[in-house]
Amino acid sequence: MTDDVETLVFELLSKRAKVVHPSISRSVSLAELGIDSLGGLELIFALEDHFKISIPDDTTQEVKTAGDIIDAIHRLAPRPN
Amino acid sequence: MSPVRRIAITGLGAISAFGTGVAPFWDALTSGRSGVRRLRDQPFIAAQAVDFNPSLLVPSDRLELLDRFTQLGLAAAREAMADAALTPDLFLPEDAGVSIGTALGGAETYEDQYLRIHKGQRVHPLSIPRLMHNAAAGQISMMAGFRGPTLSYSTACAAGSHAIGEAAEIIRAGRAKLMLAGGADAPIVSGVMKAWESLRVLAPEPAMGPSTACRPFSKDRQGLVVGEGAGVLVLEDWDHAVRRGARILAELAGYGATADAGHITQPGLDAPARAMRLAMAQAGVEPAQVDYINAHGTATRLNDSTETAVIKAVLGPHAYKVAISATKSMHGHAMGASGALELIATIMTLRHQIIPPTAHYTEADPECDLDYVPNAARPASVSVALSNSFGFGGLNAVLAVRRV
Repeated sequence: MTDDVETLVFELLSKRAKVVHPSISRSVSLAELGIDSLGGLELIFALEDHFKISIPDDTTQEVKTAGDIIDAIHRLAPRPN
Repeated sequence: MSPVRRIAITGLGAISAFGTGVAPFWDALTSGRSGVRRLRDQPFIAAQAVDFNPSLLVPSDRLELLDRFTQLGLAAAREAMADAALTPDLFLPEDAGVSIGTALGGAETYEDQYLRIHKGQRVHPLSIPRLMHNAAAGQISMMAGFRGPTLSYSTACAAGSHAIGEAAEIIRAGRAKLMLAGGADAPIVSGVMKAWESLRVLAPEPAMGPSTACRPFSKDRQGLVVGEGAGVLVLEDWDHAVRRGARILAELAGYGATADAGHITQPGLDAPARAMRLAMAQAGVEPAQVDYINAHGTATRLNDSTETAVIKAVLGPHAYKVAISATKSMHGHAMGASGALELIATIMTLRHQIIPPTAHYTEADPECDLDYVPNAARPASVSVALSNSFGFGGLNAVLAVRRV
């Protein structure tokens, strides 16, 4: 599942980025991609829909980088098996 | 005493059922052409801006943040700014503001989100910034980079006129040198259309087709036709406009705003008359000097007979000599955008000395016995003109413009 989540998050981020970024990695921040607070909300909305999870408000405030998002999804998503 | 500031109109922008731009709007009005059509996806007729393509306006990822009324407003504002040849070096952003009227705000967003709820889906996170009534004013200020007074007025069918009149007052008070002012509305969504239908004021589709449905002042009038669009004008402190060598299209010479304090939907007589008198007084105009009135003229039974009585009360015997037309017969009732679109039509009348007609007029009504310029545009000498807007809530706004 790790790879799937990471791939999807990177894909969503590059689609929503307002700033062209050569390569998206875990350490890239939303700010670097030009994703503002509203853009972040849209991203969370899309992730919640895709993974059928609910991301709590305090988590959304903590999320700053692609890695933060991936970790949050792992924390919140039901594990396979 | 501080000097009396005059208001120059230096730019116009219009989105209507006739497309993007003042040119197609004016061309349609002077040819008596109707923009009313049957809607493709709803059992209604309306004057819809079918050719409007918002993706030409902003990148598609930004469109998500814009309700249709904001898209229409942005497009009209952009045209008005280009028309006025505004460039950022001409003024300080703090001296420029925005004033936009809307009756319904983000109607489409409300409807889409309720539909999602009924389908068991979640509400989109950007719904509030899309649907709020000040979204158009805010987005226009962002697009233009204007940082002065920026406001939105919601006074139903008079919103565009109030927004323009209040913007002029802001300039007169010295609070801004320049304002983008007008109205924007996109009410053609099923919930709103059904609500109008329930109020029983919508014109039915005539047997020969939808185009002649709206017949203001005609004895056989059967009600209003909903429209949509946006009209935005550049208002400017007269001296500022002269100093920068702007082309002045007309003077916004007067504004009157009153309330009936009577009935929530039935129009009054005294307050609309007082609004007309206030606008004329500010403009320094006597009844006999009024050459043309762009009427509120919705084509409901009550509005048109009442408005006729109001004009008679204000102008006296001159009421029978003044040319009056209701351009809603063609562009429909674009709600909060109406007053702005109609003021643009009035300014074009001053510029081109041609009065657009009241289209689809068939028969004189004893209760509406003035000169409504039936069916064909009329060349005429027009120096002073009024534009009437009377909104639900009993809220009235009248604007007076003078030829330059």
